[in-house]
Amino acid sequence: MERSRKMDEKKKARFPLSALPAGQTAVIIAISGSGALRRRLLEMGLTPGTDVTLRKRAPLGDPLELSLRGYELSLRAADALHIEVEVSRTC
Amino acid sequence: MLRLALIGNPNSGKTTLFNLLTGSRARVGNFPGVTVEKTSRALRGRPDVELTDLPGVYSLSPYTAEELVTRDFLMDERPDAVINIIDCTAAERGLYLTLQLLSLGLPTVVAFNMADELRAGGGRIDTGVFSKALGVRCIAVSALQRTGIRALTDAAVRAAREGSASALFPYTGACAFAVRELRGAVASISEAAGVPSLFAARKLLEGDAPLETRLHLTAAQRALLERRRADVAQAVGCDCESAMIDNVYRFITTLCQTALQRAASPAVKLSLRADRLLTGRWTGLPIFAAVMALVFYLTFGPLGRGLSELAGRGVDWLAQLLETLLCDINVNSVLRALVIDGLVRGVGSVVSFLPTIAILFTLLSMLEDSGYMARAAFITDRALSRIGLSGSSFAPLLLGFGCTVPAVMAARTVPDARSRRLTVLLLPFVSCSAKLPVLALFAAAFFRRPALALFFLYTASIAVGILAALVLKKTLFRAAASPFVMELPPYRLPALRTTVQYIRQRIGDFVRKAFSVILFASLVVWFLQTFDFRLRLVASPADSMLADIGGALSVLFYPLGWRDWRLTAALITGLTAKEAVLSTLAVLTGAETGVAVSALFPSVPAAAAFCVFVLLYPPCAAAMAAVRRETSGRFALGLFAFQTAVAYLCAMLVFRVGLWLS
Repeated sequence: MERSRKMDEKKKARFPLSALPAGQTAVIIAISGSGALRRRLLEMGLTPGTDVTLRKRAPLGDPLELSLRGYELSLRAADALHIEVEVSRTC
Repeated sequence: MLRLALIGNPNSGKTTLFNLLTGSRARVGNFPGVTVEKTSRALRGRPDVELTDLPGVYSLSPYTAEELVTRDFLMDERPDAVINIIDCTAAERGLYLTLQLLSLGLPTVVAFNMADELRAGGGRIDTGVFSKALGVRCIAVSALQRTGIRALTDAAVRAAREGSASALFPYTGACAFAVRELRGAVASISEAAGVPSLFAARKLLEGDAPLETRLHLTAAQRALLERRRADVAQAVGCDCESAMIDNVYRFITTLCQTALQRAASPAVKLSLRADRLLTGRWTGLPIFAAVMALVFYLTFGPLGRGLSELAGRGVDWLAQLLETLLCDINVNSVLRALVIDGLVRGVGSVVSFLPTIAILFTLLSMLEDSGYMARAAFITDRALSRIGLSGSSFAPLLLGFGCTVPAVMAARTVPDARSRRLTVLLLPFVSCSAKLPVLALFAAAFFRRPALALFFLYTASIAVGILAALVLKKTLFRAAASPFVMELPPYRLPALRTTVQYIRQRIGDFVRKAFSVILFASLVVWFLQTFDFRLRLVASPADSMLADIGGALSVLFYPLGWRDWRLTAALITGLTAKEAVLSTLAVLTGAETGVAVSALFPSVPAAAAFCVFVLLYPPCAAAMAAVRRETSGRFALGLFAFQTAVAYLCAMLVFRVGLWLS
């Protein structure tokens, strides 16, 4: 019982997009940081509530390949740190 | 005359559509003074309508050079109508740009491109609903299948003639209230400054600093702006900037839910499968290495070299033909030498470049159009980020090993100005192939293991380059690199028409501009070699101006270990083309051998210092011309000074350490 609740909490935990395992989809909660990068991310459609899938990491470990709103986007892990996501409850 | 502008996201098929809408034989005009190109041409079949192709952008924010160029053009030039192209398969992102365009109040027509692909994937688009919701004509087109083009042209011309713009207001809730109020408050000054009030209001709320300066807000207006921003932030629960962007995206998402059924098109599905291998964890790097090796092999291998030699032979043949011709009609020998040695040989050195450049740009254009270049950037980004660059600098740097000229031109593909300039600045550290024969001769003459010495020289050059990059990153290029946010477009078959047009333009550029510099430089060298200071024809170059200048400048090189004027003269001619270092030494010593050359040096450390100097000193005239064209005259001068200083210091270091060791 105790364990399952912990699991549940873990499932709903919010974490940076860079920590999402490859192949998983999550919902964007918020974008922190400031300036050009944040603006660019929002304008590319990474707005709160958007589903985003982390397709893979580049062969050298960075950057990441994301999929959202019907297209593929590449982003460095350090920048993806600013994107807070939550794994959808249905999965 | 009607002026139309074409605008859209990168990779939305904009270039293909532009080439389709305009005739290829029409006037091409590159706008000077900007690092980003805009091209204007007459519409096909309608010489009275001019279409300007603006850089591909995602937004009209003032962050990148492309965005600034685009928005300044739209606000200052105010075209009669705008054609906005959207990739159906990524419609939401495209519509974000559309909604900014519409608030500029320009007559607009929206072209939903790749509608056929969307349908092929099982999706559907209702342009009628879009037209109604956006308040402008929306037309489904396919730039590849060439459908809907006629309707698009007609609609654009009609929109330009009627001059009516959309009155769309996409905001809701607190954002809507803030935009309306601010719009009313700044309307008079923004209209006076040539900025439509809706655009001004929304951009001010989004925190657009350049616009704030442009409008010269009064204290009261600034206070109102701050108040409204705080209100929105409080009402929405996040900062005003993201609330505004989010509000627009909400409108778009709702609209797309009714008017568009998204589906992964066959191209997207195929791309995902291909990327499993092409950017795969284990397969990505080997395939990438193989692709690069192939590009290298085709460009600088037998094919490119063969064609270059053929071109060189053609020039020789022409020179001989001219020589006989000029002899036959008894032309004075100086004039003859001017034409043959100055003009024809000078031009010849450029012509022999051309096949290499043509092959290289064909391959580059194909890599770019196919979508693989974005993957190459994806793969190399991590390594390049260490020296303050990003993945997009990879291709130009690689090309630098072949020839700096196309490499500098390829630096155009680097998206932001800062990284583009840093890339260009680092290119001379990637030794071009023209330096190879010079270095090989020295390596063979002075070192027991020439191959090892050569390898060491190349590696040392890169090491110095990395060091320079690290220093530059901490000093002149301290501004944060613009973040690496790059779309990975689906793979596509490169369109032959686009490739051909691209190459024709590049080669035209190269011939026109680099030509003039090379020609001028070789004429100067010929002149210096042929006359003395009293403008008398000299019998041997040892009496020429070049000898005098070389002798005088030799003083500068005493600290580097060599004193012979002929070496200095060779370095000077090497500025026109690196191969000229060797040919000048051959002329001046009378023999092209290691023995003759080694006699010029007092010691081995001096020769090593000379090698290092040749390796690092500024690139040839053609490359400098390319640098000037891609950046600015001042930047080119700076690069020249920087590269000279680095070469001088490194050569001195090598000489001193060498002396100390021996």
